[in-house]
Amino acid sequence: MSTPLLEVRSASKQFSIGSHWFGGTHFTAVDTVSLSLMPGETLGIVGESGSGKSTLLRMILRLVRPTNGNIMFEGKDIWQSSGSELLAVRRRMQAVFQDPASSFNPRQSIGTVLAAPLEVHNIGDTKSRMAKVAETLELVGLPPSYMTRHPHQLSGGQRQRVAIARAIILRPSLLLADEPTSALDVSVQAQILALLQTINRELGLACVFVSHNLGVVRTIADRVAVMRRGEIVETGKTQTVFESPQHPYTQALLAAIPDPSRIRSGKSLSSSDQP
Amino acid sequence: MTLFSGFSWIRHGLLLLGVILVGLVVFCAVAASIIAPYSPFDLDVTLMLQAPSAEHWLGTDELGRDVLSRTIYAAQISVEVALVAVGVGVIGGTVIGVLAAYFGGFVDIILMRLMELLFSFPAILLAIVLMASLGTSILNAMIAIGIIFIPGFARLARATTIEAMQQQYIEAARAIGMSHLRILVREILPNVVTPLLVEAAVAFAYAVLLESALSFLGLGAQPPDPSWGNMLNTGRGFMAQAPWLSIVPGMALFLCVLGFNLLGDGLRDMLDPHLRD
Repeated sequence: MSTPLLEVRSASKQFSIGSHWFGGTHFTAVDTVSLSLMPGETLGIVGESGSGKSTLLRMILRLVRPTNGNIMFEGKDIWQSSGSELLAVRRRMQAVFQDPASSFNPRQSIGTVLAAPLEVHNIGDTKSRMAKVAETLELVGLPPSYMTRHPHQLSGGQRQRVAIARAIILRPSLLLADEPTSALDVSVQAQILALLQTINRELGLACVFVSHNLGVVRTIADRVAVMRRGEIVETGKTQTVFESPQHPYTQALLAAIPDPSRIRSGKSLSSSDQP
Repeated sequence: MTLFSGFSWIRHGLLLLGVILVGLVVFCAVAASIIAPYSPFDLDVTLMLQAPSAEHWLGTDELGRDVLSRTIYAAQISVEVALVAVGVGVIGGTVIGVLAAYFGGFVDIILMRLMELLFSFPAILLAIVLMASLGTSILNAMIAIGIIFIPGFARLARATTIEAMQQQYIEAARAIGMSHLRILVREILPNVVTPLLVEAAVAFAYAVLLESALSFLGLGAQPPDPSWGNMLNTGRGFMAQAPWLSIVPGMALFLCVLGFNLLGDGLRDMLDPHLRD
């Protein structure tokens, strides 16, 4: 078996609450979590808000330092690398964030936003960068003329397309998506999900997809990890987890999905009623 | 829309008044040697303490110098001092505030406690202490007033930086692999500039006042160089015989400060995205 693209080894994150000097306490956001991801695979992480999903993702992105444990990318600990080595890791690992309203600098045009990754990684000259930006915009279903627009001139769905474009413009091997559809209308959610699936398939991306929406995860993920209070309580193939959940929390989560057919037939939504 | 257009017109009317007043002061400062009818230094004891007349529109002082010319030349000193002082304050304050906010933790604590230390002194007292230790000269007045401005700008820059840093695009920039310097310059500074600009206009008014206060106390511009502050101080002795000696520089100071305040308020209203329609 080949080496995993991403491996999280017993990673924990504790945040201190209150002053260090006046008897502050700790809050464990992520508690000894281990997971691995093979190239091209999509892992869904589900759990309620506050379960540590986003913190885990931000540790993988090297935005938050884990208190314990290691994050391995292509066999190397990302917290051990720095300088050009780190830059190389960043290039191969890109993210789409939750809030399309605040994930762009309102003062920059879409073209500037999308060219930034290319500039940072010193790829091409101004002209070839613009060509690349146009090409990537088309890839996410937006006309290249959008380059001159500013984020506030775009709808939420369009902004999230731009966010995806920013993430894939460097042709990474891993895409980390933090609730990319939760701020969108339901109809737009489906479009963005479809786009993500197409792009993952076409570019052969591995993807970690964080969401509290089980339906979304079921659509997109090969494997699922269920998080609760910072721990992974259950993990497995998507179909297996959804059809025969083992952990009581997973069972409760699945039972909480509103099912229109049950409402129409007048059945209750109690936890005994498994989908 | 039409209902409220009257209000916004008043707002922009005041901004316009501010621009005119500031423009007048800056014009006097820049073109002093051209528009002043006499030299501000020429003494003529035969003309001392003359009331306003056709030759001397605003009268003469106790040494027979033309008050109008001295008032115009004094604008030069005021604008120079204010420009340098606000420059020192904005640059020093922005660097300190942005660094404190961006790196947080220990850097933040040290820098901001230092700023609070500066803040805890009354401005004029701090200026006097600084002038006393640096020596009395107009350059030192610029530096002293600039130092007084640093904490205010630092706080503002820190607050706006913290606000900007909570935006997801900062995380996105880090995830891309942008360096600290690039994030600071490209993503954060443009957001900090607007509020600082507004604050700078208001600080300008305050700098003019402080310079006058220092000169009034004999710590700023030294005679025979004209400054509204030292002209007011001289005029104080001739209140009954020659009230124009106090009224003219006093009015000049008043109009200058009013102009910069109106400009600052107007800019704030214009640039604030929440108030913009």
